[in-house]
Amino acid sequence: MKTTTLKAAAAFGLSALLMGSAAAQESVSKPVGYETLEITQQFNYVGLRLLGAPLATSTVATAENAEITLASGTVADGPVIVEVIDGDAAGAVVEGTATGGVITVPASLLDNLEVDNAVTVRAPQTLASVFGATGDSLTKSAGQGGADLVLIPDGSGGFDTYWYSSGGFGGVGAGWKQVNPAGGDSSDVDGSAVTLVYTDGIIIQNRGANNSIVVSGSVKTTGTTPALTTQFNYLSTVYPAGATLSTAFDDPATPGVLKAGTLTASAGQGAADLVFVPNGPDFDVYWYSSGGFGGAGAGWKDSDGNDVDSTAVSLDSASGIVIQNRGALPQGVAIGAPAFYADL
Amino acid sequence: MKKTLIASLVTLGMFSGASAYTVAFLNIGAADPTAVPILDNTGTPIAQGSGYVAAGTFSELPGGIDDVKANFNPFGDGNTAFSNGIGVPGFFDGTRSAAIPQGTVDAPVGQNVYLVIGDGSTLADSTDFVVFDPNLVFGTENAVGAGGLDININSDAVTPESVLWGTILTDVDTGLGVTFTEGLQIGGAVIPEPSTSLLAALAGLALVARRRR
Repeated sequence: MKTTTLKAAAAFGLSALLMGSAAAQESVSKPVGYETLEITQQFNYVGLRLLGAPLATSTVATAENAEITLASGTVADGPVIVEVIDGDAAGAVVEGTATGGVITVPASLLDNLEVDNAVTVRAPQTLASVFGATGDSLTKSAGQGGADLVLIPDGSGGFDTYWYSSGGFGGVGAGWKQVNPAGGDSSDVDGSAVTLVYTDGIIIQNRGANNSIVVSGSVKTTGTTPALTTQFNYLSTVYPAGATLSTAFDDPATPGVLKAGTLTASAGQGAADLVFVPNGPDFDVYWYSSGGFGGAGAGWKDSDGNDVDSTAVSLDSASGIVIQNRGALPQGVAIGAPAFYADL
Repeated sequence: MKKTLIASLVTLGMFSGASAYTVAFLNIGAADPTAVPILDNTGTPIAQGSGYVAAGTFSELPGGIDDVKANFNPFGDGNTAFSNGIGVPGFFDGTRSAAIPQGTVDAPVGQNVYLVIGDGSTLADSTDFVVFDPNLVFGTENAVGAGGLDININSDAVTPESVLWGTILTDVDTGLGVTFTEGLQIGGAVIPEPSTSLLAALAGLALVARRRR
């Protein structure tokens, strides 16, 4: 479904990424690059694997009352993405708002984030920055039924749906629109104010011809732990080249063995978390068996129950995946970065 | 617009592994004593490839075996024979799927889902049943055609309230070298008819009212 221009870069330890986008702040954002996401007709499951530029990487100076401050670095006022690098909250990624050097974050982040933990603060990507201020990467239409739809998970199992209107006669009313889920009608929205969190998978319902979208930005080199909702979770695979089912979910010391604190394993497929990896117009489905009595047969399986070599399941062409969560909440899923990203 | 969306969902349903509304059900979430084997009415675990298990709805809660056969509506499509990846008798790991597009309000949306387990190869051929109530209700797919329910029968889920029909056994040894905390045997219990329960409740209320006078 998707191709990446970074595959070759992976073979060279991603050094080619350094020749990518000039938009990022090179002093703090290496490596950078671009990726082409192929968009076929109808539903496409994509993820943003090249991120907004890092604005600061620092330890946390204060963390209380749903606010943090940084020990070093300055962040301009406005929306930001905060990602935690170490400590008990390592891998967490949240939206925040910077105001006068103070970053407001969800209060729940501070359940695990502590002073002296390291964080990176990034500029957020938005509908406008990814798809164009005037939606040029998408099929526009005067009506919602003829336009590409961009569906963004709302965190509770539903979606926020956006499209770009080419406007009425004379172009009147052109612009980004958001669909009202209750009535199905649409209202104006500022595309530059709709933040796309890079851990979220994005679903693009393409009503036009096959298409492609070029995304540029910075590569994340540390692990990511998005929170899951019950049932279907649409996620980005975060790492644009060299990622496999194993690098994402296995214990790095024992490839093929599920890492603790990530997906729910089960003796049967019906109680295990399922990983749906887009494969052309279909999905390959994987799950981790905890094995039979005595643990015999534990390991990765496909939907037919066949053994799977997780190190051989590449996620390069799957920027977005779906995880069907059968575990109890709250549950995060720790997605590891390929080991060689640590050297970038 | 609505037709376009529905057509798109149907198209997705044809090719997408994450599409359609899927009810998953198993009784071996973990291969340990919390798994709940199903035994026939002779006490033998139902063999792989045998038996009947399906999720669905009841048009009316059954009061007997014939009512189970007459009133149960299996949901969607799926294999009904016992099957699990470990290959041991007494356990199943199955799914049933059908389209329930977002916005659907008709049945089965809003109805309770039940799991019916029989000893025959079909509902009609079964001589008796286990009827399990997971206390779950059918919903719909989401905007991209995905949705589902999960029924995991383990020792925590087996209660007199959840087992509407069938016999709850304890300390069950099926010869696998594990003593299961609980098992379920086909048949042997009675589902109170709603009308009977209602009559009993009304009689109780009448008695209380009479005493107060």
